[in-house]
Amino acid sequence: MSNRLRDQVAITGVGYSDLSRRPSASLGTLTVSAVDAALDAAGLRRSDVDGIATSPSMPRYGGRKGVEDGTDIVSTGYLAGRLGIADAITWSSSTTHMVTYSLIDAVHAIAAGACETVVVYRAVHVPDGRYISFDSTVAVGGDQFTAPFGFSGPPSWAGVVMRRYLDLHGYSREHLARFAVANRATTLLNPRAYWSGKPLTVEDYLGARMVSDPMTILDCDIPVDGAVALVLTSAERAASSGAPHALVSGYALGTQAAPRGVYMTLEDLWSGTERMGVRLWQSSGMRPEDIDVVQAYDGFSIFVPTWLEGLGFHARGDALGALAEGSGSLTGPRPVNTGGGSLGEGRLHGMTQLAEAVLQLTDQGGQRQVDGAGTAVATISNGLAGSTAFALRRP
Amino acid sequence: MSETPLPPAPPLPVPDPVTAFFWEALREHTLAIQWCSRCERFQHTPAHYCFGCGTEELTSRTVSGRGRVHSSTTLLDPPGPAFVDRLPLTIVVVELDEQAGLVLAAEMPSGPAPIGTPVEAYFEDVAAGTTLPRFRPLANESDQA
Repeated sequence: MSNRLRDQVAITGVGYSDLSRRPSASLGTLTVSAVDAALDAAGLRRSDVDGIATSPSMPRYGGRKGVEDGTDIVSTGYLAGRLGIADAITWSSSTTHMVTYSLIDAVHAIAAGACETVVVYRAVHVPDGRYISFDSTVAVGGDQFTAPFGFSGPPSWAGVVMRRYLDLHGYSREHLARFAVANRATTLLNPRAYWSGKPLTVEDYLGARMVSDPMTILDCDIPVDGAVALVLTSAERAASSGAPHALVSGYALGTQAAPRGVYMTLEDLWSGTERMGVRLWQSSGMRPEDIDVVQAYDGFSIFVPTWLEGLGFHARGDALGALAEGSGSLTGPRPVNTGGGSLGEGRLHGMTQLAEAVLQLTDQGGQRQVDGAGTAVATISNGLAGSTAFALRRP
Repeated sequence: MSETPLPPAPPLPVPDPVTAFFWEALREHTLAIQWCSRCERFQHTPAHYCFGCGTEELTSRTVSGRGRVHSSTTLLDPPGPAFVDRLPLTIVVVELDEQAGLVLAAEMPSGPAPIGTPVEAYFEDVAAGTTLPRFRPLANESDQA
């Protein structure tokens, strides 16, 4: 990101639908409710929206992906129609990457003057049955080198990273347990979190079902149906509106190619997140010591320490020990995943991190508000190509 | 007459023009890795160009099949219907002796081994015309002769 974009665009509304395992409304209706909530928070109306962007995909690995608009996915056209604003849209974008690329697109569109008020949303539907199930009888392309012996699910890909991280640094599952317990304690203060109201002990964690040793079910984010929407506008318009907002100070794209046939190794995650850190600090003008809260992507728990290390908050191998000691707790030196992250709140593919960053920077964190949080980092995915990281600040 | 239906077999690899050499070598119970003679470097999995210099003139070389455990995981949750009766299933990522950073993933039926453990490939004919590499610990150094 060129410095010319620094602090030019604001996120001025965050809206959630209900989050649940088995929703009573369609994904389309959930998405409309999230957008209306975000517009309400921004003090805007549907008719103010002239840009719309998303990543319309259904997270499913190895099985049949649903494509029904409004049920399995929500396209920009569908949503504009449901909102009754199809003719007002002057710019829209759909990305095959994660939705965080839509946020970058929206920053550019507003800065370029293509539109003034953009809704960036992510709608996630989790199909019935197992969403990770390689049920084909043949393995083609890259799957030739993994699926024939069962190396076809994301938990196993991240499981090998986790095993190496633990073994290289002398950590045990007790460290993971203490991190999980600390994260759950934060989660309990987020009323919309899936795991809200369900305390966790070290013993609970150590007894959790093992999925891909050393990864347990509690190291995987919790799949939910739901939608999150962000409303973006120019910093200038946001300031004159008087609505609470956060500024997008900088962003970084991941460019580290995934290792072939393995999907990810610990060393690749470090290299990828370190390269993203260089870009993020350059574009935002910030440094790690300037950051008050970190929203680190936690689709799998092991990504939290690798992000914290890659971005320069800790040396390689040190972050899990610090997290186990409470460094990421709300009362710790630098709170991490202040809403519980995807592990606690729900799997919303990066929106969890972005939304929570904005809520903290606008004093909307409720019981989990970090007093005076002025700067935040939000990271999404694992640090390899396709990942993104954002630096945000209070105006 | 009804019988209990057998669980489906694991998915079989479908070779393509770029990967065919790898599967053909396995049928002969050897491990071949794509090789760039310009860069004098291996790369895996096979690609249609060299990630070092971009050439499409790539060959392959037979490798020893020996390496060290870079990491592993043991599945206790089936990744697909074919694996329900095959758990626990240990997968190792092996860094091959021939080149630093050259990794290959495969099943290690003997179970997990610490990172750094010396291992060797062996070959299992899993279906007519399809052979998969597996890994096992190297029994001891004298076996390497």
